[in-house]
Amino acid sequence: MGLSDVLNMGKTSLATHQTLMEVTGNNIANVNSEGYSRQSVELGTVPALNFRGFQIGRGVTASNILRAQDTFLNRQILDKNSALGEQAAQTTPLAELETLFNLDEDNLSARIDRFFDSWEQLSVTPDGSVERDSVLQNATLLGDAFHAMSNDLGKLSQQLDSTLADSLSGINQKLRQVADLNQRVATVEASGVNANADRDSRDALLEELSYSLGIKSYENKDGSIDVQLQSGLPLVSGNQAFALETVDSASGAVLQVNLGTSARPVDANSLGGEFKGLTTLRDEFIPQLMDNLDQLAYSLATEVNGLHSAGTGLDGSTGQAFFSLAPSSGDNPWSGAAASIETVLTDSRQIAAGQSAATGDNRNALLMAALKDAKVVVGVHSFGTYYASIASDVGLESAQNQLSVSGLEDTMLQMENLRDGKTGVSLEEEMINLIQYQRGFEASAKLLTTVDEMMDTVLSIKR
Amino acid sequence: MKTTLTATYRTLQSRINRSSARLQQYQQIAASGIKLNKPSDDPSAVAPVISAASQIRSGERFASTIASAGLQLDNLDSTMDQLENLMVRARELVLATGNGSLAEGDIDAYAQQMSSLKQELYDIANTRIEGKYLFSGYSTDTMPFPDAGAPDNYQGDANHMELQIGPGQKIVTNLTGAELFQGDGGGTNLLALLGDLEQNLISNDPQAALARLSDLEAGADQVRGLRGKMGIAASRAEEAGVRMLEFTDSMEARLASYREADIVEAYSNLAQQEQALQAALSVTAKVSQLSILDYL
Repeated sequence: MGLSDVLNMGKTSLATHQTLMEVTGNNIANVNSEGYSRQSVELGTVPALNFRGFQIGRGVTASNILRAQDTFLNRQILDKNSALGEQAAQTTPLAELETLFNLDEDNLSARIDRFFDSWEQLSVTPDGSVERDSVLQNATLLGDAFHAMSNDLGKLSQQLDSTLADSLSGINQKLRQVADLNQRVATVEASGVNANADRDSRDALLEELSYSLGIKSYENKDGSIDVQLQSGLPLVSGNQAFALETVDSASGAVLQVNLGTSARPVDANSLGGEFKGLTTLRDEFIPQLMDNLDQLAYSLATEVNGLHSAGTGLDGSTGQAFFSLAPSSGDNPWSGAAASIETVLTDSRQIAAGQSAATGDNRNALLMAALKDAKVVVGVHSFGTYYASIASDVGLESAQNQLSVSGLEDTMLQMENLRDGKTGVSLEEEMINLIQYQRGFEASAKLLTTVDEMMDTVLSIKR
Repeated sequence: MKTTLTATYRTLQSRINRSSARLQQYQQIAASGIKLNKPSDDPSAVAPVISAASQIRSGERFASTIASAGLQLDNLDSTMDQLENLMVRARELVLATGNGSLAEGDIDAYAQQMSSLKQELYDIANTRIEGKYLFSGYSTDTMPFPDAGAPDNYQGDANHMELQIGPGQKIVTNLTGAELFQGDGGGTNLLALLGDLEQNLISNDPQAALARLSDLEAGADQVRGLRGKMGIAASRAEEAGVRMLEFTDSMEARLASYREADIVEAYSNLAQQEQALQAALSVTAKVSQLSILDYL
């Protein structure tokens, strides 16, 4: 051990401080990078040597570059992100549903009211052709309103279908990227170096995947991460990714995982995130609304028909149905009623305002007008209150959704801040480190100049 | 635990977003005066709002029915006024023939007057308003008494037309020719009576005519009685109209209480939210003023 060894020691110190500066600089540079985890240098002393009976250290070395991480928080974030995705995906479709089941002056309930009002008007002038035409007109408008709503519900369902199908390519690409990153992490880390940047990008991808799919993930010993659906169906295994695809079926698009040799269908319970939110709307909520609407149209048509066929028109016709419903393939008698309800009568003289063909007979019109407030839908609702109950269901769902979204956003915000507090870059911290490392570097340089002077002194002993 | 710039700005941004979204919402409420725009604004208000709107529409319809019923009853009443006058005139005529000092020519003149009264009675019985016979039940297109020589020949039916003037509330708006003119069910047949009197006078038998005076009184009572009954129906309709107006008003008030924003509340919310947003913005500006870089 001599002065030259001390020079060497100074050299390791300078080099290590440069590394420290580099890493700090990288931290500062990435202060605004999404998903970046703060890196730090693990310092190690160079093993000491026994020299003249002493263990003398031989300087410093950067042994590894570490990445700050908090597995618990990460897992929490993945979890909440899936819940947030599920709720957030429903917000827009629900808002659209609200415009269908609205509170305007021209909603379905108003159309129903106007139809029965025109019967009440007819009861005053049972043989009036204007009043009779008005009944037919309002019946046609009512039918149109039912058609439009059932049509719009169907369209919304299709839109959800295509939204799901469209987002698949993005998801498959992300799965592929996770598999690629798995490969790189495993390869890099086999040599003992941490693949920090790759892990960062992989974590960011997992967050996005849990938002859209609600995935589960496990880290293997080699550093690769396996991604699965909630049901355990594999999406990424090591460096292999399995694509999600849709197949058309009678009941709409069905999701399946292509496992290469075989394909496994994905049931609704194994989904999370946006996919769960959208499929729940498509497969449960919208069909429920459709069913309610059908039931309303069916009750209305059958009740009106029952009364109408018992009455007699001005032309003496009797036993006539007022509305027609096309038979549909559903399980219930009312399936498809809203889409197919039509006015049968073509001539306003066929309208059965009375129970005889007498021009002043208004008995049936009075009964019909009273039907407006009769509790005939599923035994407890009038037509108007049944519509109100559907609309308030939609409103409730939407209000709850808005509440959940804003609550989950708050939770996410807090957890992201918490995670930032552990793994993010704080400029203050980096600046202080900068000063500290600069001083260290200066001191090392001072060591070198001092040793240099000492060498001069040694050389000047002999003149 | 450390505070990072990202976390600070993330929090601030979320606050500002939330604040300005709410501000926009309050601006809309204050500008439109309506707080219930879509079902999710207040799901519990949906059912009452729809039901109130529906009741208001019903109320408007009932009001117009009541107006029509009132008009029909008015027409009926003025026709019955004519009828009552006619009965008075018939009575005066019969009384005048009882005066013993009448010459034969005078009796002829009275007979002619009676005959024109009878014709007038048939005209009243066959009154048409807007092309519809008033006294033929449901058969409003059938002349109830087509033959002036056949008082028992009633072509109408015995049906009463009812109108709905409120929820579960109906009134009768017509009298049938059978009950009013033929005295169906033990009353006086006015048409036959006037026909008999005419015959009595033509056959120069004023005593026989005088003997029917009590029948004439009973007939006039029958007309007055039925007129009174219809008058009660008319006043019921009127009362129902007033009640319906009150009901509609209270429904309007109910609707407004759910739908319309309290202006004072709307404005104070707006002011409050504006302040919150201002605070959030000024804090955001302050954050960037404080930096370690200024001290190095």
